Amino acid sequence: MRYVLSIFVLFSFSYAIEVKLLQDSNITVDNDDVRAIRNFFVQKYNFHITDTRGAKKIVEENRILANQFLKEGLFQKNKKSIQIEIEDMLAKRYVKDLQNRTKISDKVAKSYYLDNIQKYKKPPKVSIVSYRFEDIDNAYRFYKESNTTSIDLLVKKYKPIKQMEIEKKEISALPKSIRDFIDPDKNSYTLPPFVISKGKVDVFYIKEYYPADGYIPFEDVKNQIKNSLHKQTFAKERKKILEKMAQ
Amino acid sequence: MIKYVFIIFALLAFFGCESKVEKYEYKDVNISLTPSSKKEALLVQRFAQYWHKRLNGDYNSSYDFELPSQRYLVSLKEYKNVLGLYKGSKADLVHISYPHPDIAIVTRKMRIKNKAFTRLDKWLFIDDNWYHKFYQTALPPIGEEEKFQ
Repeated sequence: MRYVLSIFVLFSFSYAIEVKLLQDSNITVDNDDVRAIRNFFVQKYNFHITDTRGAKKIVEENRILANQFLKEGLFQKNKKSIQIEIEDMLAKRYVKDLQNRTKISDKVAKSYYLDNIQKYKKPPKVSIVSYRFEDIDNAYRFYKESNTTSIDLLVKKYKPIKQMEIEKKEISALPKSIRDFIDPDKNSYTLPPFVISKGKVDVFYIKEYYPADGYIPFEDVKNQIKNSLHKQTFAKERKKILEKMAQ
Repeated sequence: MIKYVFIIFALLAFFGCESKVEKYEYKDVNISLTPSSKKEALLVQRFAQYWHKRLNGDYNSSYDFELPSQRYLVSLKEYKNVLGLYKGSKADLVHISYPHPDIAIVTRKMRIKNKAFTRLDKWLFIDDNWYHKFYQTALPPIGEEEKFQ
């Protein structure tokens, strides 16, 4: 007999899948087995077995152990749990196969993109300078006087311990505590001091506000759209199959 | 001999042209504007063809005019169920605006049982052709234009 272990998965249309496993007397491994074990490792562990002898060895050892499992009558003892495992594996494989069969064209994705173009508007941005102070009083004075005095003069006067400039940062990427204070109709203003920790007080100066302008190019969001559409169709297909089989 | 050759060429030219220009003058669709570009002329043509089919209950054909993304998600059978039978008798294209170069908002006047109703249509330009968006609710897309400003 060519194969060491013959696995017959018989489909029963009554209640569940019936699994029948038979022992084999002659253990051999062929090239198809090597190919299969390689694919299995890639899919399951994302690991490529480059060595053919190594791949053969894995298959052979598994076969010997599986054969022993059958010889010792352990299959009968564990039949139900094995059946559940196999059903789970087959269901997952079917789902994967179904997903691979569903192809979404660029035309479909472009149609979704244009129909939902608002979602792909480039987000508004701001340029911010943060000034760090050790003392809350200095930070507060800096903030208060920034309404009437230029920032450069205030920097010379209150000497922040650290200064950092962030150019054109997406507002959505800023912490909520800063985001909530940003006014789209204003430029060149400071936010009230934020106490970060003891001896660390930050004052943020909003240099410029850049309103949302233009759209994110289709190519940049194409795959994201395809994934989203894929999920919608897949859920529908899955439901359809389950309903059909339940009838 | 030259006479016959000329006649053959004339016939070829005549039938060749006829096959390229699709007819879109229908009794139940009126176009109240002159297209300002080739792209707009195509939109007008697609609008006329689409509404002629919808008004005559030819959903098998109108389905092909709907957005590729909608056709991907909604089958022809579901489409027919969603739309039901359209009760209008005449469509009049009155205005087109472009919130985006590939998005057109078409204002149409529909005649339903001797009453006129103004409705908005959304058309998208994908792969050199215009596609219509159908709505899965009974409510028309009010304020659609403002959405894209």
